[in-house]
Amino acid sequence: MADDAIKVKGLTKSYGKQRGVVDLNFSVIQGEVFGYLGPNGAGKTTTIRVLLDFMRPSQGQTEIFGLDSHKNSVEIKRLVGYLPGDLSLYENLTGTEILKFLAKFRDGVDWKYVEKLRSRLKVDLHQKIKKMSHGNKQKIGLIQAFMHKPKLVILDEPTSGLDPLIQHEFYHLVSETKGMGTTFFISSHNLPEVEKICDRVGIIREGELAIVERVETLREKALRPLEVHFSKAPKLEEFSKIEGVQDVRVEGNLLRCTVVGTLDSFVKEIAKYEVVNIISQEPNLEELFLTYYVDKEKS
Amino acid sequence: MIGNIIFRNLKDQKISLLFWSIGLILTVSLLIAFYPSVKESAQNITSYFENLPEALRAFVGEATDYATPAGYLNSELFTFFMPTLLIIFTVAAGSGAIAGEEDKGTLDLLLANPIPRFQVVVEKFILMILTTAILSSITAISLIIGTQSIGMDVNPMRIVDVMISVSLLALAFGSISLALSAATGSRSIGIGISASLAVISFFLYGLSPIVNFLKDYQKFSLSYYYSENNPLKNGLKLEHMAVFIAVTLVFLLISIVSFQKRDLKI
Repeated sequence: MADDAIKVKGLTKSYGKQRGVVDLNFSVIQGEVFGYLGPNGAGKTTTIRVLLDFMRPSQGQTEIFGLDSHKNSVEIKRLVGYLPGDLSLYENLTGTEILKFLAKFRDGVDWKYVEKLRSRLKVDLHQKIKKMSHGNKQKIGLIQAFMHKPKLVILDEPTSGLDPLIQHEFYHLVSETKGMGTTFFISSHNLPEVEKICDRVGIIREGELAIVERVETLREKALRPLEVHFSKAPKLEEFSKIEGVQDVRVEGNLLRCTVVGTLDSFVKEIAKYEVVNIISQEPNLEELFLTYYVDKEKS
Repeated sequence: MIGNIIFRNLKDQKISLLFWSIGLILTVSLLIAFYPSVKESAQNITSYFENLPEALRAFVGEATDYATPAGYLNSELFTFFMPTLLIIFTVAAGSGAIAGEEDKGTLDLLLANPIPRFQVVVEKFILMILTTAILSSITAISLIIGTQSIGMDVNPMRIVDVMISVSLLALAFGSISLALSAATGSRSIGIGISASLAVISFFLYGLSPIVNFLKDYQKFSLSYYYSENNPLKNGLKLEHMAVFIAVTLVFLLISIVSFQKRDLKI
């Protein structure tokens, strides 16, 4: 479909004894931020390297904006900005020298935009790369991925080594750039990050795609730990009966439980009492994925 | 932009090229400075060499001709020193071209740009030619200036000839090194195999006059096409240069094709 920024069709990549990826099928829709989530060594980088024609699939095919990753590799790279997971820069160059060098491969890099990115990410471009901290190198990597305003940005573990403040700035940058119509494909092993910036998420584990889902839908399926303080002790049985409510415990006036999906019937039940306080924790996707994996392995 | 990689790398190598040039100029100057005193005792040296076993003579070049300026330069510089030095340079350049960037992990960043893989190979190849030409030209110029200034009777045109010949020899091995490392992604394979081939080639040619069964094989040695015609005396033989160019181009082609086909290392 022409609407897809990325299309992965039956992609298998095996090399030697190492497991690569097995029969992956998914698409990334134009304009969305797609999180590619999985533990280290799950096959995230392999997928990205096939997309960019650094590796050739053992089976299957990948497309970017309807162009074949291998046959139209040069054309694709005009449309794509890329941050490698294990970023290496030319050590003896300064930040400016590297960015100028890379910009010469592309038409029309706007230096005002580069300067804007630089000041947002707060990095000194006059320093030589070998003198830079890991975080600063990573910032140069981000600038070069964004500087030519690509239609698709592929980022492999983008926030590794960035301090929380800059991570925050990065999340801003992503949502702002998304507003300009840019599509993102972001690999990560960090759940809260994916929750924060992604529209949809694909979870890969041991080379296989476990699930592709909207982040909101996942959240709906997520277990939500709740604490409700009442003015008097509630009756345990009444809460245990409600669908989706698990692990109910009552300690005096305090009720603890986990709720799956919608809170509606639970809220209606507690409304029968005088509620002093409700403490709801953010649903933990990690737990959901664990449940998912366990389910899958059982079956 | 075409030439971006060449330009960037030339800039990176300027210090290294500077030191190579200084080394070459010093060597040439020393060699020429010694010539007058060597010439005086040339008679003794020549007879010394004449008494050497034939097997050893094969490797010191035209030692029997030590008294003439061309003979002196051949045995001191062109038989062994200059080819070895330039081959070290090109073999290192060839192996570093692709596998060097791959080892350092910078190849990803380079190939994320809208350039085909063959362009990287070709630009790195041209870079190797350019840098070899720079070193050869500097050597040739210092030789010409040196020999002229102390009145050594050497034809400057022949110096140019022998430098062209030794450069093409070195580029052939550099191109083998490029092909091996572009195909495998390993610098050590590129350096190891092509340097071994250079050594084998040198010994094959050196021994072929005295070892009977090697005679038929001497044309398999690239050194044959470099030394056989004695370019410092007789100038270039175009067929011999054509062999170097053909070998170089064949391995350039192998580099391009094999690099195009394989997976990049992480």
